[in-house]
Amino acid sequence: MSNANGRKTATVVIASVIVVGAFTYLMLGNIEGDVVYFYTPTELLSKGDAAYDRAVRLGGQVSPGSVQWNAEALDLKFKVREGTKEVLVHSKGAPPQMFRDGMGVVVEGRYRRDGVFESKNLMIKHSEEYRAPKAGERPQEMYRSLMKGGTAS
Amino acid sequence: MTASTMPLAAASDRRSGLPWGWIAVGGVLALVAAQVYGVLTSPPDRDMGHLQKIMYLHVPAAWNAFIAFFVVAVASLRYLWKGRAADDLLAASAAEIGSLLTGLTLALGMLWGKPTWGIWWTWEPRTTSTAVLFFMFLAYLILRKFVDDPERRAQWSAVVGILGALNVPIVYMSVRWWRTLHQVQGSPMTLDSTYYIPLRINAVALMIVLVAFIAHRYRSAMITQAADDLEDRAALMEGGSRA
Amino acid sequence: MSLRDDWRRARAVALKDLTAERRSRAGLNAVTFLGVLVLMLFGFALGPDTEAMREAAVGAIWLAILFSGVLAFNRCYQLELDGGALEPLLLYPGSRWSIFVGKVLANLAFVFLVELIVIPVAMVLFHVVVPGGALAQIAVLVLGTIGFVTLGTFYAAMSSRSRSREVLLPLLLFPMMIPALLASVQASTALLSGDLMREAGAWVRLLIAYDVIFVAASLAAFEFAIEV
Repeated sequence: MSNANGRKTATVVIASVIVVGAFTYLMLGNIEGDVVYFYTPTELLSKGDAAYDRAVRLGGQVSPGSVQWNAEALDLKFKVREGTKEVLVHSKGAPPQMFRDGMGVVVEGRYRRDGVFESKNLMIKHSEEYRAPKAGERPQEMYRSLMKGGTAS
Repeated sequence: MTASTMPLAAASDRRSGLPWGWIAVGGVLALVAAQVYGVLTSPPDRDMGHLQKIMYLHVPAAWNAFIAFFVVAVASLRYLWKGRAADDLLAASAAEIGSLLTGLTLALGMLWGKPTWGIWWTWEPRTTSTAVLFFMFLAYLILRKFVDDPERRAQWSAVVGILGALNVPIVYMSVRWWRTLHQVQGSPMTLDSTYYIPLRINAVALMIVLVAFIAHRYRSAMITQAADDLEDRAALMEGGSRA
Repeated sequence: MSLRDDWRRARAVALKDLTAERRSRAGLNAVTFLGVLVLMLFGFALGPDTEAMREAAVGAIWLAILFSGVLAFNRCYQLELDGGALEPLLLYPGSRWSIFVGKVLANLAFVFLVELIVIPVAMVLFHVVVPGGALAQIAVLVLGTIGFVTLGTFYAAMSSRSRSREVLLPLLLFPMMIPALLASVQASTALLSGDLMREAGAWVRLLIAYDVIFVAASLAAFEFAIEV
């Protein structure tokens, strides 16, 4: 009996060591390695042929002044910009409330051969900061106006 | 007869340890006060406006759910080590409250996600892992209902609780593993103190409620078990006197 | 020395289970049939859009494996429970985890056989074309299956001896499977579309760590689960 208990303890100890080792690997082993969460427009355009018609994510800033929102057809077109490169994105359905010029976005979808990125999912990349509005800033006005009234300028 | 009343006496003795009823009332009052304080003092967020107030319940609920799960894991380990039924009951009590808080975290997260991210639900690692945690809590509680023998129930749920706990670090680490949309855990650096202080106060208030809840469920589980023991012994004695 | 004895015991248990399975064959046939049926249902549910079906193919394969495999795990204790043979098996000297290893090996062989049928069928039904790198795909499949079978065999040791075991096993097993399911499906899907975002490597590393953690943990935990 004590022999069986001793063996059980030994099994538990060895298993614990292995489990701790595997967790250490997960935490310190840099397992995400070279994952690309999203391509910037520059990266996407530099892929050339390889990027067409494949499931990819594209991230960047909503290029100011590029948003065309058709409220009747729920049809949204805008450009995603990073640096000097831009990619035209087409998306169906109403954008999230916080969508506006200059906001960081990530879109999931496919880059079509005609140079339009067909988005299946539009996500806002919210900054990690929670800040009180500066004097004179009206937090919700900007995207409200976008949602209500056609094209934003 | 005096011997068989011992467990019940021992269980009711625990009641005199701390005034848990008053602690629970105080915790709930503190939580309400902390919510009011948070809503009244902090200005609307630059991007999210007053939606940010959901944080004061969402984040403390998530933190306290993790504390509850930690209690489940430690009590389960201790049960396998020492074999005391009390540890098993403690784990079960913590799992009940933990599943409640995890459910609350998910529901509030969805309410928050719709206006900010534009979607009720996102298949993003941290959200997903929290949902996994929720399902594991529920499976743990369902397992307890499906097993009748107390010793078997205790041992099996301890094992299930520990294996489930091994999945929890994934929840914490997922933020580092995958670059995601979900906000990186807030710290005083990225959170203005106007938001951070009420968040802290709310978390502590909810923790008092959590502890009081666990204590209450634990105590009633102990009393139920003592009553069951008493019933068994009475049945045994009756059978013995008849023979 | 002792480890070699444990290994011999594990092999004996595995061979016993596989022999019983081979003699009846009812289990393998039924489970494979269910797997193919799940795939058919997926095909109908996803509609005639070829592109959508191709994109969902890996997920459909894994769900077919999960739903059919979970039936096998309860069965693997059922023979012993029906014959009252579990207690005598536990009374044999030596470590109990060798019984667990034996069961896992038998179930691995069983699930691999199911996959051998289900996956080619899925590739035909969902118009999947593997663009080279089939070896990487097989590695992902094997890693995912190891995690699934180990945890399934472990939880079945409890669920098969409880009330309403058919419901309890998936409830316990599927939430634990989510990280492995996610990793396997993501890695396979990424490999199928050429792995442009270079995700497959990370998911495979996660899958390996997951397998190591839960193989070790369930080996140790089996002693506690089986003794009561």
